[in-house]
Amino acid sequence: MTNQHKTLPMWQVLACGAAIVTLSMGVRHGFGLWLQPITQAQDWTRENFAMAIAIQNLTWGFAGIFSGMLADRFGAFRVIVICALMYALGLIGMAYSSTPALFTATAGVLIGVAQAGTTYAVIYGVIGRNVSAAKRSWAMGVAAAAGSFGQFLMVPTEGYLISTFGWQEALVWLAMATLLVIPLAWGLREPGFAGGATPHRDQSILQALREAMSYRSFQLLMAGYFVCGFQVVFIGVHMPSYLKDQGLSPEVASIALALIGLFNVFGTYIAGSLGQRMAKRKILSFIYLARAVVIVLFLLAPLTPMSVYIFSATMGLLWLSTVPPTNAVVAQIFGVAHMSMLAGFVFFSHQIGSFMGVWLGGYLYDKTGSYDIVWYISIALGVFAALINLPVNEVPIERTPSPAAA
Amino acid sequence: MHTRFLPWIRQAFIGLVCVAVLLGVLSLYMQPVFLLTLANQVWGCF
Repeated sequence: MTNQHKTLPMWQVLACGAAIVTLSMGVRHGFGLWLQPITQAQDWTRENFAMAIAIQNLTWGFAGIFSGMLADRFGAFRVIVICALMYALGLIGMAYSSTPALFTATAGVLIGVAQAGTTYAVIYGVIGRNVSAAKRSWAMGVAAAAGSFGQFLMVPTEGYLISTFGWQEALVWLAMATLLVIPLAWGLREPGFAGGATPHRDQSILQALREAMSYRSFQLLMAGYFVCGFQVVFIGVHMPSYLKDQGLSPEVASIALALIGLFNVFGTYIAGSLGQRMAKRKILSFIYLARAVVIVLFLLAPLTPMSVYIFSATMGLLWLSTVPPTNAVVAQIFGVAHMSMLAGFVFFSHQIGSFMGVWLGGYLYDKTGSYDIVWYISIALGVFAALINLPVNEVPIERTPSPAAA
Repeated sequence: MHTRFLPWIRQAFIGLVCVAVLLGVLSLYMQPVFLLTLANQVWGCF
């Protein structure tokens, strides 16, 4: 057996991949905790901080395409190691930046690129190449659940670090924690990429890209993922203000965050596991429709702490549960040779949706004095995404052999 | 039957450990001081 056909043990891919995603997704999720200490210590505005985080999110989406290409071409190990170093460097820069521009370059651009190389798209490429199709969706569910767990775990952990060491030293501790990704990445060194080798691929990057972009089901998946980003980030960012406007205490919003985080872990795992037994397009359609229904019920029901908690727990179940089925469908349709790049493209669409959700939420609130219109848009988009996922064709593409290969 | 029973126990054990860890983390959120910090700060950006 040549190195090309050797694979890593599934437990090793899952253990190392899940631990990496736990760290990389978790660390950035608690960045909001630094807003007050940094802006107060540096005498910056909230806009300075928010701008860096907005750029981080967009960079994450955009750089995901290229980190995916590199991971497919040179192996995930190299990309993860370089991006883990960038993550640590970005966190140190976040701690010691003396100007908003430097802060944006480190906390925004550097960490955004680092996230692109240490999160789902790159890890899912390794899972796609090393886990059999029979268990792939489940394995993606495990990795997504690990990322959700990281988000859930790291917020209180980072709160503890700040209160114990101060905001600056806490960032240094986090930088050291992200370096743990490097030994973990060692477990994702794929035999097919050993010694600088590149596995044979039937398509070049351009061919794969052209095929995916002109394929209707890929376009539909991208559109659906846009909706996912829009809804999740609109609710994540604007719900506290909405609850405050409605007269609920800030503690209700905090408990809501905890419940979303807790149920998100279950939701992502369940969606991945179901993807092994059911058509993924039906799972995705159900998730988007369920989101729309849950939002409608939330808006119709009398607003109380209990209704917020029920809404949060239910939305938590549906929060990142789109991640495993969406990526598993991409692998199923197009194969795994360009998996990380294509996952990167789909994720870019997600991040554009995220940006629109935050921006439109703020813009329409300023214009109309309420979030009503954005809630309605979220409902309409949920129904739209539910409908467009139904015709997705999950059958693997049949290709005629091509002489050109990357 | 014995060979079927063992994986079932193992899965149940893993499931229980996961639930215990998740509830442990949830209890961190519910500490009053942290709850207030979170209320004031974490929703500031996503």
